[in-house]
Amino acid sequence: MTGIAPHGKLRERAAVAVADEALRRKLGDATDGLGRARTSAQAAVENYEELRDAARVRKGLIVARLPEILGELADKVERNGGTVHWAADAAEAQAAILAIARRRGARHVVKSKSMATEEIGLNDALERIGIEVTETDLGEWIIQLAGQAPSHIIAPAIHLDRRDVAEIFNQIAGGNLSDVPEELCAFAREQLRERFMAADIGISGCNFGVADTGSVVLVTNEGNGRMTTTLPPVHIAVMGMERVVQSLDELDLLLTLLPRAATGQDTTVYVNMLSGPRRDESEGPEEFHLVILDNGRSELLGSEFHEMLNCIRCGACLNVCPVYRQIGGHAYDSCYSGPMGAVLTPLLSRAEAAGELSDASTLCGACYDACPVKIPLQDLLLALRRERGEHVSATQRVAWSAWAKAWSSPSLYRLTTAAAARGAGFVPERLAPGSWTEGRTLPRPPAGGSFRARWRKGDI
Amino acid sequence: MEREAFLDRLRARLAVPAPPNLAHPLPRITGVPRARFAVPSTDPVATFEKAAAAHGAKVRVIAPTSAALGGLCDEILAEQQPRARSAVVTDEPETAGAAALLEARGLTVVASGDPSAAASADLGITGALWGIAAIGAIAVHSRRAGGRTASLLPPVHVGIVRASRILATPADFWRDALPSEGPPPSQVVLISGPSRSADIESRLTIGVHGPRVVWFVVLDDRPRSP
Repeated sequence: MTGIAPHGKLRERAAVAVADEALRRKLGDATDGLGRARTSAQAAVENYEELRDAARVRKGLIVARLPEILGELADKVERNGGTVHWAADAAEAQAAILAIARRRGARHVVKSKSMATEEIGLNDALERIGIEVTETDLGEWIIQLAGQAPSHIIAPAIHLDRRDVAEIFNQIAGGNLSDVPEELCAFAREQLRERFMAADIGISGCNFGVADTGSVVLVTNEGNGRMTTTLPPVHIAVMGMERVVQSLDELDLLLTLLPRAATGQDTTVYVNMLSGPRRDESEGPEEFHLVILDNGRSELLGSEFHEMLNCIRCGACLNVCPVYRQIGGHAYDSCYSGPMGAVLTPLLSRAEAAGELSDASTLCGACYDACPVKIPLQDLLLALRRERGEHVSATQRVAWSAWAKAWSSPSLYRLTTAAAARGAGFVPERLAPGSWTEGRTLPRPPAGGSFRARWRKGDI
Repeated sequence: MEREAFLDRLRARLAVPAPPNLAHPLPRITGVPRARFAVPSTDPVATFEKAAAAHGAKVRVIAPTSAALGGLCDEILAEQQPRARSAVVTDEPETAGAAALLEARGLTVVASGDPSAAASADLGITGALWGIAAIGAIAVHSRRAGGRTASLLPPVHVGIVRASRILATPADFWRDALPSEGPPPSQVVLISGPSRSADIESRLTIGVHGPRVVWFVVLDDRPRSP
């Protein structure tokens, strides 16, 4: 499990990914397909741009009233018979969930896909006290069996092809499976059905909490989300504290945007609205628990990064990002990758290596164009870089200052570039700021003279 | 952490307003606009049929009569190989008469509300309080359906909805119909077709954990024009 604590250097992880031609082909195919599906689904909504603008504004209003809205959500969940746990950080979230597991004598847990539970390292915590955890989302189960981390927030196994999956499944199937996706899915259905029926606790994430009704809404395609929240006697939903709306009107708005942006669907197969444990019913969980998770999110409130709390985890930004499309999710070494991960991880993580992730960007703004709630991700990436820039060494500062000064004056600019064109080179490589030249090569002087010289001569 | 301590941390941070984004300022927009679909629904039933079929559901519009429902049972049973031997049927207005029709065709029928019975049934029949035309979905309510598993565990799910209850858009459901019912039951689920996944090489596979085959039956209870 990755959590949000990158190790090592981004450049090295990216170099490994870029050298893997098969990975780049798989990523290109998958992200192209998702992107095309998204634009096609968006075209079916006439006022899509209006909805994006409205979503940006509404989410901002929700975040500005977060304490009141969370209070109402909690009141209604409790009125529906559920229990609310307030987790300031990952350790508190783990502790609350482990306490429920111990009280219930739980041995087997099934999970539907939840990035929040990846973030807090929940599976490891449960396994450490001897509980067997089974991921039931097909992509998550594949990577769980392979001992890997997810590489995309919507399609966790996007970096694997059918041969990879067959190899992984054959480790438990005894080598009899072909690599036909239908056969692999049938195997997963049969294996996981048993786990659902035997589980003591089902743990899910939460796409949207709804304060007005005290509900948790899950959008899924496979049916594992419904099984996880119906069959075991206990359901625990882990929710990032910002993933709420006040009203069903706002829920409707975001449900219009999310599936179209994520997979190009007009709706997911199932939209599951859960309002507490079962009441006078013979099916459904006896206990419902909502774990509301802070884990660094409150630091974004009132800051220039507050719009990052508007993210609805659709993954559209990953699919259009020229960097993500080349290096994939593992190079970010965080469960949140792509542009949203490059912003969110350094804001939530205490790992020193997290700060580098804002370099994983060309600042092209494709993410902002794709984002259904119009988060200005490129502005946030720039702001993160600016923050890091405040901590550079004196030598670097001097070098940057000198260069900026030289090129602010037309005559000095002409002098330095003319000198460079005559073979004097730009700045001797050894004097340039070390971390900036690492991974970059300085341009060689152009053959035939500088552009300006050739222009003056009429050569161009 | 205790609730008030948790929320106090948020209140403290929110006491200082966030700096505005000058490069991409917030638009001036009020309220929560409804989606306008490029092909608006003039006939909800036709729109529902088209949208649900696009998701892989089999849709049939029939007269709300026992004879019509019986004929449909024949069609459904003929398609399932091997032939279904057992079914779980909910006790909802839309499913009235279905159990008897299936028993007459040799099936064992159990009532909904028992997960292990649903797990071993070949066929699950439920009603639906609402349909949503634009996205080809039906809304199934847990208490009304006597539980949650009839539409989930059997490999074939037949969802029966009345034509008069098919709403044009999701907004009509979430903003108007659902709140009009009062506090929601423990589960309301929108179902728009058979379960699916594209997690392996983005190749769409139908029938993962939920039902592999889904029939939406529309009981045409609309008044006839003279």
